[in-house]
Amino acid sequence: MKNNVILLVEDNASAAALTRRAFEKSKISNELVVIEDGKTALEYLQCTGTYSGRDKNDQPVIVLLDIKLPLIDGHTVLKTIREDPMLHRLPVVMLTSSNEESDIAKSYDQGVNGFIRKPIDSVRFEEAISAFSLYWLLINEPPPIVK
Amino acid sequence: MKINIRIKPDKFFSFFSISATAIALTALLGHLTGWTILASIRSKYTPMPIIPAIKFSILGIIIYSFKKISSTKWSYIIFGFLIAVIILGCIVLLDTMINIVPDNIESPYIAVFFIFFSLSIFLKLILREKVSINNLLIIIGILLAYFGFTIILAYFIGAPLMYKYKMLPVAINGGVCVVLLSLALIGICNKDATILGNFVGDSPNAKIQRRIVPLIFFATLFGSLLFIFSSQIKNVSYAIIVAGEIAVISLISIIVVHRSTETIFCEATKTYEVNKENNLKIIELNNSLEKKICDRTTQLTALNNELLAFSYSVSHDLRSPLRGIDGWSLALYEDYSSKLDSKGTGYIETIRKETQRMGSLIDDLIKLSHLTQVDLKISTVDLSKLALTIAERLKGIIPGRKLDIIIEPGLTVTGDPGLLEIVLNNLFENSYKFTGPRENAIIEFGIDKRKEGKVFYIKDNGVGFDMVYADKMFGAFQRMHKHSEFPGTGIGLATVRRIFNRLEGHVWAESEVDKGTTIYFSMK
Repeated sequence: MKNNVILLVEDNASAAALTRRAFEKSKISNELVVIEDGKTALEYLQCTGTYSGRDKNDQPVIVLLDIKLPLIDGHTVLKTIREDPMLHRLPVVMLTSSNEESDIAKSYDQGVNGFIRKPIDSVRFEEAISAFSLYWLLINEPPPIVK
Repeated sequence: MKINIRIKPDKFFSFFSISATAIALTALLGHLTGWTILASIRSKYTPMPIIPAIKFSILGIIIYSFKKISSTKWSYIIFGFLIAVIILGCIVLLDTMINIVPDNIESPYIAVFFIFFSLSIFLKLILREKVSINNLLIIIGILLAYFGFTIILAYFIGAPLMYKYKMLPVAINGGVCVVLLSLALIGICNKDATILGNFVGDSPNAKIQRRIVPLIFFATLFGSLLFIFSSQIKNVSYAIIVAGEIAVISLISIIVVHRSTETIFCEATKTYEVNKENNLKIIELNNSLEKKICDRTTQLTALNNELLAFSYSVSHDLRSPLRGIDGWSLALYEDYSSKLDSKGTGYIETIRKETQRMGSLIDDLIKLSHLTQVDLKISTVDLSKLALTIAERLKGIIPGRKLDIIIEPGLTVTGDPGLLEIVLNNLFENSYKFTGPRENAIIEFGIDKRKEGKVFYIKDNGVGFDMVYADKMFGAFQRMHKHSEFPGTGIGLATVRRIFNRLEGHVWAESEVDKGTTIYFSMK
């Protein structure tokens, strides 16, 4: 099944598990792929390294990207995606603890499609994930695949 | 001929005054014992009369102990004595002018000295440290010393001065006393004067002057004495005497100039060397200072960056585990609440509440640290307008609540609009919170006309607090009430104070338990 993967780039396993739980609770059937660092995330998207055998046309429907990441940080991952002719239209949303103005500004400058600051209150977090899923998986029209 | 005034100037001048007293007392002793040679020094000279002898000795003592007695009750006695001396001097002068009795009280010349000298001490007693007066007194001292010196010289030349016109001549020991006392007068005025600044001290200027002035003085003195003594020799023509005098004076002058140029050159070189050394030192200091500033700036920048990184880390990294705690607590509640009794689920709720509180604390702390980092944008801020917006928002929170917010119109101030909005938000929210238990809550915002300058206030009729803790309330995380009564992180007023620190303003509070609180603030 193509085009229904949600890619979550998050280095904290506990946080990733909670996000997965929130998606499950909002009845989202899309597969959630969790990658723990920026370098592997780029390998996944560009189908290189560990993921060299992956189909390049089978890209996630959306990428949820943390900013603070091991090896390559979220800003660099975003920048690489936007510079890659195969990936540049890929919807990317930042999902992070930071609400630093500089982080938000930098993300939008680099062409991010959304910015979500994770609230500490889990109920509100689940609401946010639910609203996010509704918009990006159901309402939003995905970009055409680059050929 | 180097007068080293620098070493012990006080003792130097004390010696003059005490010598004058000694000479005068010796003369007095002469009169009392009938051994008049003590008063006249040489039998053909005029003796020092009794009255001037008494005056000289007392004036000498006054000058000697001037510092000690001038500030005590003795000063009145001194005033009295001085006035007496002046009056007596005037009588002698008057007596001489109308030419009634040219008797032996004292010479009119010495009377003039006593008048000037006493007046000088009088002025010194009254005006003490005034620079212009001290300068004047030094000039008077110098003139009087020259006057005394002239008297002594006249004796040396062999013609006791002022024998003509039926006036009493001045005794030679009188002349010496005049010189000594005048020098002592210069001594007591010198400390507070500027006029001798070029002559005393360590400056090259003073050193050169001290070398030249006495030499010139002795050159002319020697030349003139030579002239006088040779003129007494018979059969020597004036032409030869004058030629000889010119030769001697010019020779001595040449020696003086020769010696002096050496000194001047020496001092100039020294000055040049010292200046050069000082300049090098200044350049060195400047360089090291610049380097220090550079180093400090680098350190400060590094420290600031570290602080920024730290606050970023706090905002990002501390929140993440908190979210974990809250998320898994919720998961525990959702998935296992059937296995827990109400106490167990209550615990979970408490864990989640505390987690939220920690989250708020972190958020507020971040806001507080941001305050010191934002750049100030100063403009005129309409506080009344800001307050109105806040009031509308507060009234909307609980629509049924009876809340009066009275705002004085047209309140403006110069400051950063963003920061002042944070201030008003914090202050109004506090008043809103602490008037919670009141049935008729009243919050007033205005300008206090009783106080000087623009002092704004926000007054409420809330629960208030004990003023004993007033200094605590503006500290970070300081709370004046229990969390269960009035929730909050205790960072609001710390934020307000920090903003006023940045805006160079001032904020303080007045409060009374159960009556309400007034927060005042003013801007520079």
